[in-house]
Amino acid sequence: MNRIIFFGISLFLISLEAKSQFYVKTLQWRPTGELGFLFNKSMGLELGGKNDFDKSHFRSRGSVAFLKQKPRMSAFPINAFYYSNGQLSFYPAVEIIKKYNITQFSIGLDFTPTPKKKLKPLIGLDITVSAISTNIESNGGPVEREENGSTAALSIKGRLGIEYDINNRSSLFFEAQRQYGLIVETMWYSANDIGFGINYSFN
Amino acid sequence: MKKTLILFFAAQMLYGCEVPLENVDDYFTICNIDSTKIEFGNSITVFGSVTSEGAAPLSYKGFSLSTDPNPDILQNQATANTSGYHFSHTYYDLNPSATYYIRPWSNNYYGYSQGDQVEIQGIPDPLVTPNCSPANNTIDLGVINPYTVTYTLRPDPAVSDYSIEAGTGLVSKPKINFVFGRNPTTGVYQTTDSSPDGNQVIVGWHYPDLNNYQKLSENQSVYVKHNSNDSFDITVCDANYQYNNMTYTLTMKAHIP
Repeated sequence: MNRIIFFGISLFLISLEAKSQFYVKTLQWRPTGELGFLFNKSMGLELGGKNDFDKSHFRSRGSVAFLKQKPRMSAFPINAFYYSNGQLSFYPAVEIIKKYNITQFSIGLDFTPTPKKKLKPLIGLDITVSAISTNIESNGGPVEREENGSTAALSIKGRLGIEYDINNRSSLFFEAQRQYGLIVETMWYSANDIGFGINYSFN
Repeated sequence: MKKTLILFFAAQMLYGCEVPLENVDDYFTICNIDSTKIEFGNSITVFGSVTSEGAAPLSYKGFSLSTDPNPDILQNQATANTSGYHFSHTYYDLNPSATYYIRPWSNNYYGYSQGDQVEIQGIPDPLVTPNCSPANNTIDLGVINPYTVTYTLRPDPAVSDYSIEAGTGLVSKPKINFVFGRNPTTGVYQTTDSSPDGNQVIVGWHYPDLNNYQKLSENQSVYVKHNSNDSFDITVCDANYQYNNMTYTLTMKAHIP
C-alpha cells in the first residue's frame, strides 16, 4: 500500500513539473456497476496541474483526487454458505463497510480544437492509479471478522469538458468523466464523475 | 483522426450514462409465501414464489421456520430444489400445540433477501387411534402362532432409507419391514406395493422362506404414532395379504424402542 501511495505521489509530482497552471476541482463521484450497488454518490476533491494550450491542441495534466465512499446499506446481506453431507446451508451473514476511501493519482492529456479561443471544448484521457483504504466487518457467517485493509486499482478515464478563460491567469471549467478499472484481486469497476473547477496560472 | 477521437469519446461518454439502480433493494430478489397447506399427519407444505430475481439471476430459494417470530435464514432452513420461480417445502412432525413462523428466502449474486413471514397455528393433531389393541411387540400373521419380536430402526430414518425392521432372528418367525416414503411421523399411512409417497408405506416380510417376500395388500391402514425422536408405536389391525391364493390378515403392534 505504501508503495502505491509513493508511486502515486511520485507520478503526481512528476506530472506537475513544469505545469503552468494549478487547479482545484470539486466533483460528484457517481459509482456504477458493482461499485454503484455498494456506494452512493459522494462529493470529492481533486487538485492538479495542467500545461497551457498555447502552442498545441494538446496539453498534459496530472492530479490527485480524494473520494470517500458512502455505503448504500448499513449492512449488506451477503452470500455465506457451505455444503455438508450434500446439504446446502445459508448463513444470515452481513457485511458492514465502515471505511472505503479512494485516493486517485492520474496523469493524462487534454485535446481542444480551439486552443486560442476563450471558450474551449475539450476531450481527455487519463491513466489512474488508486490507493484504496478499507475497514470492513463481516458477521453472522461462519467467519466473523473486522479488518482494516488496503488495495489498489488501475483504471483508464475518458473526459469531456468545457473551459472558459476569465482572464490571463484563471479559467473556469466543467468536465464529465467516465472510468473503467480493475480493483486488484476483487472486481472490475466503473464510475462516472462530474466536476467544476478553476485553473490558476502563476506565470 | 480528430473526428475519430471525438466519436470515441462521445460513445464512451454515452455509455457513461449507465446509472446504478435507484433503490438498493432492487438488486436483491423478492420472494414471498403464496400459500400453506396442512398435509398428512402434523405436517405443512409451504408454497412460495420469487416475484423478482433482482439485478442478477436467481440462485437458491427456500424457507426458514421457527416458533419465534421473524426466523433468521438459518433456522430450520429448507433449500427448495424445484426449478423456476415457484418452490415448496414440507415441514414434517410439527407440534400441534405450537405456533410457527415461516419465512421465505432467496438469493442472487448480490446477496440474500427474506420475504414476509407467515404465522401458522392450529395444526390438527392427527387421529391415530387404531381399531384394535394388540399387545406391544406382537405379530399375528394368521398362518403361524402369534409371536413377540424386537424392533430396530434401520438405518437411521433421519438420513435416507426410512425403514423400520422387526424380527427375532429366527427364520421361522419372520421379520417385518416397514418402508416409508419419508421420515415417518404421526399419522395413518396406507400400504402400497412399491415406491411409497409421503403418506404410504410398504409392509413386507420373508415367509415361509427367505426367497418368498410377502407384502400387505394395497390400501391397508398402518397407524404410526411418533412419540419422540426415534420412538414410535406402529399398529396394524386385520390388514389383508395374499398367500397361496388365500387371504390372510396381519395384526401387530410395534413399540419402538
